[in-house]
Amino acid sequence: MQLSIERRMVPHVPWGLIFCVLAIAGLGIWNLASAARPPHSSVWSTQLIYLGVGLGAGLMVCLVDYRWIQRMVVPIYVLNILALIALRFVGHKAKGAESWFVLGPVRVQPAEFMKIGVLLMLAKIYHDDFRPNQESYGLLRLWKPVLVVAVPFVLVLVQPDLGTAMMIFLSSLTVILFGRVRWYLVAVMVVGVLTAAGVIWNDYVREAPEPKTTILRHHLKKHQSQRISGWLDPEADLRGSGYHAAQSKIAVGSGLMMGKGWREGTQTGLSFLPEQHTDFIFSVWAEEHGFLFCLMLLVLYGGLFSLALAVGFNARDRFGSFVAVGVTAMLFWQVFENIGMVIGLLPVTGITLPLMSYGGSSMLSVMLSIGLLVNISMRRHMF
Amino acid sequence: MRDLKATRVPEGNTRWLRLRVMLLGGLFLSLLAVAFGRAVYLQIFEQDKLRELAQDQYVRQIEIPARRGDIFDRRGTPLAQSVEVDSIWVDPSMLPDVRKASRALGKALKLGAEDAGELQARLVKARRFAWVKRQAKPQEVEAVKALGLPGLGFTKEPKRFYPQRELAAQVVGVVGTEGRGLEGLELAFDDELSGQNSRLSGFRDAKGRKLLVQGTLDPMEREGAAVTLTLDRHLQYVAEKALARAVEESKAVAGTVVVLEPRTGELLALANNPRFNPNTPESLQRETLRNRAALDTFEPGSTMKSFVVAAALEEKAIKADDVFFCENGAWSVGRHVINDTHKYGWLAPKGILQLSSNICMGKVAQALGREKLVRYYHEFGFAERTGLALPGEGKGLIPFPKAEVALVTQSFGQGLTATAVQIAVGYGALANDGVLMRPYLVSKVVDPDGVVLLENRPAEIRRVVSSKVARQVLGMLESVVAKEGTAPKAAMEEYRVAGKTGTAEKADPVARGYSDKRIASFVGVVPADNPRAVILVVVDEPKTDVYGGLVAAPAFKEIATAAMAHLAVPPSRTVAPEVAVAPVAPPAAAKTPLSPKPAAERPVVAEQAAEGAGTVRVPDVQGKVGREAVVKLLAAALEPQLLGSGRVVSQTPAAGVLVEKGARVTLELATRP
Repeated sequence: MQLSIERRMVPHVPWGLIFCVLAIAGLGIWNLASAARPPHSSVWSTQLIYLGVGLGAGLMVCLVDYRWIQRMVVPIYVLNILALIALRFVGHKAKGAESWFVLGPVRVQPAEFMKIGVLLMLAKIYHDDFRPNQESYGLLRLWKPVLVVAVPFVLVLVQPDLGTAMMIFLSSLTVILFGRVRWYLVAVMVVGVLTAAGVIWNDYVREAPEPKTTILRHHLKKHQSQRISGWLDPEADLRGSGYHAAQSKIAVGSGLMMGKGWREGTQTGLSFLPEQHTDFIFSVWAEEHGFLFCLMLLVLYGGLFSLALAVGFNARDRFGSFVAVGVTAMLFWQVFENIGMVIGLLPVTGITLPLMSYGGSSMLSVMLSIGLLVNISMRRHMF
Repeated sequence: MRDLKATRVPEGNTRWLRLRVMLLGGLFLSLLAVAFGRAVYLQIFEQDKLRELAQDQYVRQIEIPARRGDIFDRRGTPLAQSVEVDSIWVDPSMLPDVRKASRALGKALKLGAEDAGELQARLVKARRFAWVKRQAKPQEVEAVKALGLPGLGFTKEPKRFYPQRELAAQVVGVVGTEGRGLEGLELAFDDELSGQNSRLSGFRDAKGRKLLVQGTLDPMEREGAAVTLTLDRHLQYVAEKALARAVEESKAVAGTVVVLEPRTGELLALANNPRFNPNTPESLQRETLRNRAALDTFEPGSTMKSFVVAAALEEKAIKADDVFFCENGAWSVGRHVINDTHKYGWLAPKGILQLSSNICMGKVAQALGREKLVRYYHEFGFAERTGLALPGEGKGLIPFPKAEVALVTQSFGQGLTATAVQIAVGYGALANDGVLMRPYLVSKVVDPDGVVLLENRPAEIRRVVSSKVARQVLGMLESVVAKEGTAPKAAMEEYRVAGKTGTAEKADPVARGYSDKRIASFVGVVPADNPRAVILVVVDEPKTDVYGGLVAAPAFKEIATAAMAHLAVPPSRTVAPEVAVAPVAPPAAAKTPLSPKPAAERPVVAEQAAEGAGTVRVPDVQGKVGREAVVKLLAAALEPQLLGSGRVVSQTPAAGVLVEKGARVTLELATRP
């Protein structure tokens, strides 16, 4: 284990990536200071501490050679799984989900770290499994990656934390696809997605005289059905299922070009926005700073993803590439899902916006991911 | 470290790995672009709609109900006022336990089991807002505040208050909880009285709490207009008291009094019995709310005879000294027999009215003819709404009398219907030298800025009969209150009274005939020589006695006595009226035919009173500023006494009355808007 930075690593420090991360985190804290109204008015300073802790942890990850981490992947993964299992017994219940360990004043959300654990494990499998000139993965050869993903996915799903489970699923799926699968699997997936879209269109969008033939809708429970209809048409039930989606759309839309000004957002200030300092932080941003600042934030995220993928592009081994791609995918899907839900593109799930939303575990896991990326980037020509 | 070196990515694989990274980058960026496009759509293309939605949520229009305008009597005494009362509401979503809270509220408000259950149902059903108690009493508000429940709110709401309680309640009407007029003038002038509800814009948060309210309002701007009536509180009081006594003593079911100023058409009192207190809405019954005097039509009976005599004299169908044979009490007309209460032989018109002979009246009507009878009834204002602005005012019906018997019965007021107000107005025409005045109840509607929205002034409708005939008939009617007449109980000591009794049979709507129920009435003009008031008393279904002269006349006398004193009418009695039932009796007033000039201009001077050495005439100081009035009174050697400030609105004794030198003249002053 080597805890130092050598001179030859310095040219490969991804300064652009670090700049993007720090810029987004800085804007995030500035935004939190506006979004946080009593009784949450102190969250921005707490978030500043989290950012400090996250930077420290990220720095630690940078200093360790990632190949040492590669060797530690299995223990890390197993520890995370054990933590998730332990959560079933000693977890803290909040909002109907057992997602937290309470350690004195600190609450830890193991699922956040599980996401990284899964990606590391996947990268290790793809790294170890590599044979030159081999065929792409068929159904049988996929059992190892699928198992590695399925265990934490199920454990998180039963908490229940649908959002995080979805994130694990999506980022793992990205990695698996990245690792090449047989064409028929891709075809099955495409057909599956199209079928789901068709079913939803038939059951919720298509206007047909009663009695309407529905394929799936009558099998769903009412609250599940409402989730979907609330997503597709939030205005139809503003006070019920569509409330979150409609309110955030209103907030974003009423921001206009220049926004209402810092701390001037009416939807935010009058607490119409639900979860405004966590899940719906982007709508605060959009409402108060308007279209141009939204564009700026999206450009920063876009830069972050591009530079993170560039790390994978330039990584010196398969493990590095897979970790970089996996971590980028994880960050991307979170950003995409969160913003998508805020602007009414995707259904509402409890996903936080990386670097912007309030939350220690989220901040820490993002910083660890960034640390990994920086680590991989720095050590690309070490040998 | 060495083993790791072996895992270095071979060149061939690096290429596809890099390709895939770039593909992935492309996918990520394009998805981000989709999100961006959506944001563009929301913020650029849907911005107006969404901004409106946002404002809909946080901008709340708070409607502040206007203070309802007051209703005053002619002297400015309030009959209906608006006061601010607390109303209690609650946001049930803020209550920890709605059922428990509603029980506590029910206990604090001392609700019965049923009301408490209703309250609970209301709170459970409501999401964010429910009334707990509207227009609560102060002690109820205190009790609820003491509970200290979260989510309770207290709002000032205007409540209608009737300081004179039962007085003129049917005329004024009532207001519902929502502040809309339900009956009477409150309904008729609802638009004017309710004023303009003002709206305030305020921000509210997602919990529905009002955060800030912008701007303040001048409470005057949103106030409703004030309505001033022609009613006189004192006369109204006297009339209601007298009527209540008459109804009670005769064990009648209902009654009505109309007091009319004949020269102007102003209604001074409009009393109904049974009465109700509009301040206690629980006690309201639909039936007692009716303003019977204006709304209900009935067959008036013999009070109509005067109009027939006046018409016949005007048309010269009869002469005042013609005599008619009264058939000794029974007269067959076709298959019907007309009866008189007593057997009479030959009577002149005066005697017919004095004794109220149906048979001779029928003969007068025959002399007049069908067309003219109906025409004159219409001319006197019957079968036509008087236009009092009261909702649902009765019209009355004069069917054309095709049958001979119908002509005869209509001559004594059966087989036709009229409202009490119409009868009083018809007598008003006789009292006003034959000129029918438009009756009115509302003299002024003034909005808070002092703009007069409506003002009624005395208005002539038409001349019905010549002043000679009118005076002649009034002179005949004076005999009614004589000892031999049908209503000696209506006679007054100091004033000459012209009147007519009526004892109508009530039509039975079920049996299609006449029942043994009666409507007893008396209408009087006082003083007969210089009419200042027409007073009609109607008693519905009296049980002890049925005759108007016995049931209604005493009430008339009571009201007339009070009215004469209140209006400061100089006593008229100098000579005893002729009491004999003489075929020929030239009325005193008939010898000087007056030119038809407006009644109001007639001198108020009592002719028989001569100015003595120690007496002075009270000068007219109406409308003068206080100081001016005092100077004028002092110049006339009178002692002024002032009540209030502003301009003189009334003076007692009235202008023109002869008083001793040094007598006290009381002036009521008021500031007019």
